[in-house]
Amino acid sequence: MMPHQPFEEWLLAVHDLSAAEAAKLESHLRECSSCRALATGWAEAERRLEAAPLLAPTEGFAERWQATLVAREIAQRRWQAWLVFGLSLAGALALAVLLGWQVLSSLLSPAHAAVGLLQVMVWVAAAVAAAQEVGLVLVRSLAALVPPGLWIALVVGAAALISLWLITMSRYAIQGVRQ
Amino acid sequence: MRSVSVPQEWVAQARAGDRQAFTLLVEAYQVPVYNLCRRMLGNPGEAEDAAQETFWRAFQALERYDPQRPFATWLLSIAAHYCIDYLRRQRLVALSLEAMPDYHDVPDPAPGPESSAEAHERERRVASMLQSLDPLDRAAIVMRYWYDLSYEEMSEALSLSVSAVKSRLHRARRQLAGVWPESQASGLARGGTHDAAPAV
Ligand SMILES: [Zn+2]
Repeated sequence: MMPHQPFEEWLLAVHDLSAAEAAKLESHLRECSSCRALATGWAEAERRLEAAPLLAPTEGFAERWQATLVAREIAQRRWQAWLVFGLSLAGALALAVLLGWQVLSSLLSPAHAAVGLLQVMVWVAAAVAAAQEVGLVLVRSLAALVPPGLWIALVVGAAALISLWLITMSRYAIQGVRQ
Repeated sequence: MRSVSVPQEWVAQARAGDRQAFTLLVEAYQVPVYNLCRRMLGNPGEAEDAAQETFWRAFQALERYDPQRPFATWLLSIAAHYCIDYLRRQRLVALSLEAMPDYHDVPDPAPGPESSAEAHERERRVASMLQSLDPLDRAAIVMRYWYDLSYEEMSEALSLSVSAVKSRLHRARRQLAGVWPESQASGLARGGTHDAAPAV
């Protein structure tokens, strides 16, 4: 069996052949019918590829695009609205179930529920007191370090940020209603 | 003419949210994008949907478009990825139904501007050649022969290394060289054409 490499490689080459390579290939093709068939097949296939035109869509593609754009944007907005609605509904349901379960269990055993509630309240009060303690210590040490002018600037900055946030949220809410 | 050039302002205006500018881009690039989808999928209806989907994806991703890259190559990349995924999904569905599509039964190509029986037959053969290739190999061949993309551009557009692009092109050429005598034989059996294979 005749070795077909590197001739097969050269026949389908993605690079140009040197003069010496081309001469070697030519002499191999004279002897080898299998490589000759490959050469003929590829030459024909490439000729057909090179002759094939760019195919155009039917008239009115851009108009159909504009219609598609409008339809898809409506669908997308609708989907987003449903997503928000679904998430809110799921949250509300979860809260209702939790609350219902609490109410039901307190109705079934009022004394037990009252003790539980008391325990939670004591725990929350203790946590708040501890947090206050820590916060006060922090504020006192910070107050000693930071000049009063900076404190005023910080408070004003925070107020500005909060009002900016409120304005943005209300604008989005109004736009949402309009859409 | 196989490449399109548009004013760079259109792209900039479209990126700034100008829909009219984007529609101008759709008008300018509809043929190259449609042709790629058509050569990949072989069917006018699916190609129209794929081209519309390509522009929709591009419209949504405009912010992520890097203006340093050619806009046409970016669009072709979106179209090629969409078509490759579409063909793979289709093949999965076909496998799950245990009914592989017959790749040689190419749907009727719409007649081009020269609406002769001969042109129709030429188109049918090119479509049948392309359908015999793996989707990614097909994309490489289409980008090479219809868009004259460089290996670097193809590697970027197809998310492959340059050497992978070359080896895929090589494999595809080998396969197409083998397909040709077959399709010639089937053409002759049905009456054939008067094309003669060139002597080497
Ligand atoms: Zn040989």
